[in-house]
Amino acid sequence: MFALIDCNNFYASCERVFNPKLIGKPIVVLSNNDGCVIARSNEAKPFVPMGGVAFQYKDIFKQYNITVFSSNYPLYGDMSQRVMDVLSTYSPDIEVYSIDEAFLQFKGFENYNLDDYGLDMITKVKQFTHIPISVGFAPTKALSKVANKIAKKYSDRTKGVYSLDTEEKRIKALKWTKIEDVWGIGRQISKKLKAININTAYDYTQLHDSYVRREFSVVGLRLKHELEGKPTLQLEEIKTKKNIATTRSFANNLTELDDLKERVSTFATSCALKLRKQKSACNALMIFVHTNRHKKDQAQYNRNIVVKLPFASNSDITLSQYANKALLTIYKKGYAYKKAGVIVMGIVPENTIQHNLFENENPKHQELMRTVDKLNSRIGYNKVKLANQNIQKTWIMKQEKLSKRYTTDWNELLEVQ
Amino acid sequence: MKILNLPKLNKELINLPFRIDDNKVYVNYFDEGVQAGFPSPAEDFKEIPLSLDEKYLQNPQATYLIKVAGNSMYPTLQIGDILIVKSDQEFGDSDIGIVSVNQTDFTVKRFDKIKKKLLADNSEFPNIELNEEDTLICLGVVKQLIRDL
Repeated sequence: MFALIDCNNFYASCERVFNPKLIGKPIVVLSNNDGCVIARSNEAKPFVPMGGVAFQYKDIFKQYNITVFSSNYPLYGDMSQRVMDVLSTYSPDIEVYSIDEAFLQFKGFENYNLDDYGLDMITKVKQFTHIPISVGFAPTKALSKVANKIAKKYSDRTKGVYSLDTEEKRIKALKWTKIEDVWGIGRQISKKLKAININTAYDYTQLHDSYVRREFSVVGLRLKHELEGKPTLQLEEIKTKKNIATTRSFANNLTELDDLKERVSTFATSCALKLRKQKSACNALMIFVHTNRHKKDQAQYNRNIVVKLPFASNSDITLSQYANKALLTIYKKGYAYKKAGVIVMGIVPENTIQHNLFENENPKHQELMRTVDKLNSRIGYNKVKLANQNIQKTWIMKQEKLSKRYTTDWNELLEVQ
Repeated sequence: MKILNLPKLNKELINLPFRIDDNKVYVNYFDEGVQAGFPSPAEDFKEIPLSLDEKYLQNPQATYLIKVAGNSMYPTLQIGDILIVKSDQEFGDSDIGIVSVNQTDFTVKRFDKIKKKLLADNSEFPNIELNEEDTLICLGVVKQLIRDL
């Protein structure tokens, strides 16, 4: 069995952990420098679209009393690490799929009541981290995505857990799932499918293997098998457009920083390429490393870190530079690393990238970069900025809307009276 | 010239020697088993290396550091204290917790479970009565504090 666990409206939920006033209130979170909406709480969804340009929605924010935040990646990254740490106590087979999603694989859990197990996860994650999650169980990864969607959509009835553990449930769920909502089916393929009257995931499973293979390649065929309940995807396979990540387990354990650096650079450049291919750019990266969780006798270490880019980017150089910087802060000597990964976050359309000094590679710029970083670390977060990053902003938002980094900075701890 | 021996610590104080391995600091804590009388000769005198992190920051995913910014819990807590707060612990009677009543900002108070009240240790501050319809969110229970003197 697989489980897909994801955090409900993760960024908004993080903002609420230390700020209970915001529970049940509409929240949006913006990307760094261009002010696109990258996250919304349920209450804000009817009024603001994903990717909406913030200054165009200024009046809407006011009208509906929506609290606006700049993205606080240090906080989100730390909360994510907490959630993933709790989840990894349930199964050593975990694949962190994005900042707020993870697949867990359960071997030999046939006699467990999965619903109870899922409820236990929800309770424990909620108690430890105060973040709400949803859990979908199914025999394959693609189906666990479907199960998760149902768990979330009908949370009143499901309490946040749904398992596709019978044939009957599987078929019912597939009939309920629109073809465009199937994991890995993009806009173009769903258009093509609708043209031949394939409207649900169930319809798709009724096609002939040979036809699917011819029209939609082996990837489409594997997906069909997954939806039929035959596990064909292991952990760490398939990446969709909404989630760009490169993570790998290593054949041999790596202990040296240089080896890991090489891997992480490679992962970052492959993410950059994926971004350029779909004409997007990202605002932040999450980098993680961990040791082999199955080797209980070895020293265990797992860490993730989120770094914010100074500007939205899809360049190999920038992404690998920041990925390596991040790696330096979490790498510890003396551990045998089994796996590392780079996940890009805060994805925005490419045309929102502002041109700036660093986009062309000039060693002088890197020097300046280093100086800026040094200054920032000395006098505080983001005090030194490029003038051109802020010029278009006519309303001050970025600085004022940033919540505190409650869990990662001595000077920004929650203060209580 | 006189050689002075260091005076002995009186009974109220125990010196815990510590050592540094790598970048970790371990307190050498001697577990003497039963304290009464003399240690049993059969029992090995066990030395437990104890790091402060291991003792106080166990379960980091459920540990939060929170700063005191008001006087409502004076003298127990003082302004500037950093509290080690655990969300994996039950908020029980007479525990100090980080709490929010009806979605107000978090505050630090002592829990009177029997009388259903949140108490301020400082008598100049009001206690908070809890009614049936009130919602209480507890971010975690205060287990230790760090205070710069």
